[in-house]
Amino acid sequence: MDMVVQFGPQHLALAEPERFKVHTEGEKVVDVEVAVGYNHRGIEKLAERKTFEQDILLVERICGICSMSHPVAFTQAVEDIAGVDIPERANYLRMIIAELERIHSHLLWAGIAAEIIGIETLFMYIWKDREYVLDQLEIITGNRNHYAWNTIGGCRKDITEKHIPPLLTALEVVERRTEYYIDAFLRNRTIRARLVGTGILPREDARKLCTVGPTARASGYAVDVRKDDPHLAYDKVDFAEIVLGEGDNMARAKVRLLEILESVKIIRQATKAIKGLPEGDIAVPVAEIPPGESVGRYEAPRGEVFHYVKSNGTFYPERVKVRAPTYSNIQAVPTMLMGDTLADVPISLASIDPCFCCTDR
Amino acid sequence: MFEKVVNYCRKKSPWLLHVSCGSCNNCDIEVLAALAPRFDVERFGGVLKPNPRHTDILVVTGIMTLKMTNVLKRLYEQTPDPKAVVAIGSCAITKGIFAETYASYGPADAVVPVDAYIPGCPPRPQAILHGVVTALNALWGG
Amino acid sequence: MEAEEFIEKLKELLGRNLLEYHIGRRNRVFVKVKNGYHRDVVSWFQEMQAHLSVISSVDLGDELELVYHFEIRPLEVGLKTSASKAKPHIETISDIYPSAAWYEREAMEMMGIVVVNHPDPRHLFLPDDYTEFPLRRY
Repeated sequence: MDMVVQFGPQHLALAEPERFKVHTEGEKVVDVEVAVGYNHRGIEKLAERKTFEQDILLVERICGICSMSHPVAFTQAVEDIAGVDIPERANYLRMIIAELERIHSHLLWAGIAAEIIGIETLFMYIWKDREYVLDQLEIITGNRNHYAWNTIGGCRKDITEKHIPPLLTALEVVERRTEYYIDAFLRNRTIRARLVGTGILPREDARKLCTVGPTARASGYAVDVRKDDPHLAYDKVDFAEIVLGEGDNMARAKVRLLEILESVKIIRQATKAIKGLPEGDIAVPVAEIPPGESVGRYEAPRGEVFHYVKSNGTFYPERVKVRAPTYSNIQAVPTMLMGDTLADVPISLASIDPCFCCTDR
Repeated sequence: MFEKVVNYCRKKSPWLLHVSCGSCNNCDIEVLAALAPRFDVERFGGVLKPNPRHTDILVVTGIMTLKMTNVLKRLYEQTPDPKAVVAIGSCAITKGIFAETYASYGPADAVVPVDAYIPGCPPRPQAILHGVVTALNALWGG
Repeated sequence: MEAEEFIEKLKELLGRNLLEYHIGRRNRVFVKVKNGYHRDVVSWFQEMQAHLSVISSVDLGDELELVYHFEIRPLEVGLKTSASKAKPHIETISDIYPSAAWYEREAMEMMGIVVVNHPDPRHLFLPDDYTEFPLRRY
């Protein structure tokens, strides 16, 4: 008997509004209709009416969790059009904040996944540990999110000697706790029963649908902008690209948790590297943006963020096109959900780490 | 007398329904962080509920986008009286940085009557707790 | 494949239908082809297992342009093709790259480009009864 269950725009599992109509026969899912657009704010049109510097603040507010991704991709595209190279210290500074953001975003996802499975205690533990990372971000940048760290030509503030020891202490705590959570996810019988074997995305489908980020890497499709298109200072630090093969919910969870440990490694190397660079050399002045176009790509916690910026020589951009990772990954959701039971739908939906505010802009 | 007892009970256990109507999700994450152990809204009796018919307070974030406004109106009608609406974040109060967009019907008080405003982009979890407690005292307090 | 080699191969494939090209910094390449010939280029990209990032739409004044952004490691290629505003018909590539379907839906509703043979030409982000094209400038 065919039944339609609507995961409506307002749902406790997903903090953001989108509508999924799941067609089931009994308990098995046979079809999924996805309707997006509930979060559409018209950002691309707004960006044409603000200057390039104002657009950095606008673009930051596309998403509240990956709020370093969009400014970095945008400023990289504009700096390419202007033909400037930012100072090496600025690259390391951007990279440190970017990796801190990756850590707090993956911890956020792990907590939400635990809550959706039903283990609220693990959600509380993980979000308590996430606060240590947010404390460090607040001490360095001034805000828990929406850091306003970037400007065209570099960074607005510096990370000085006194910031580094508390940062490294907090990272030690986060590393130890992440190893405990990896153990919990991999060995706890309840979590394994919910995650292993559900929401499978085969490698060929991941490649054909051009998925990005941990969703693709967990299915064996190795795309990572940090390795493929080296930007910031990623070619100067040593870290591993985590690629697994099973493509189920557990693989996506493993990829994210292991990436936290890689991010800690990157930040440690970066804080050592900036000791040798002159303090204060964090931005170059950019007087005007000539006509031209370019593309800025960045590896956000959810995947590849893509900005296409076209300038016509005035203070205002001609066209800003934003593509967030969930825009690509959400097209793989019907393949993932097909054949599973209705109870697996919330966790499979959450396992692509959806950010619908980024998708709809 | 009976009213006072009932209002006291309402004030001490506000059940929240969280509706995001086109926000950048930062205010929503700060609402969830208010539930986390460091800030802990549950010591004031607050829990997040998924169903509008079980809740007292609607927590609204975001600019009112074209597709989501009708959903918010229906959720407001489904919540039983007495209810309160709290608008969190600059976007829900004045549309914030998105003031000139084509894709919105206005800030939150153009769609539903709002009882309390918590400004910020995003407001810190401490500000959210302070706002919710102030709203509760103003509506049902002694 | 390096940028110059890519442009040479494209010139062999298209001849005079390659209208212009530009090699920028950091392996960013932009090429413009005549309307109707972009499908051949996309099929060639698919043989090379290129990754489609997004399809942008641009208002050029009297023409509407679609830019297909592909990643062919290590290059980042922007394939452009345009049609006049009076008759903005561009053929779909969603049979070659399935994920192009959603990007083309967005281009249709935001810029008013008509994508020919699209399997599902409904509105994606805007409500169904929205009739204007928000991203048009001229």
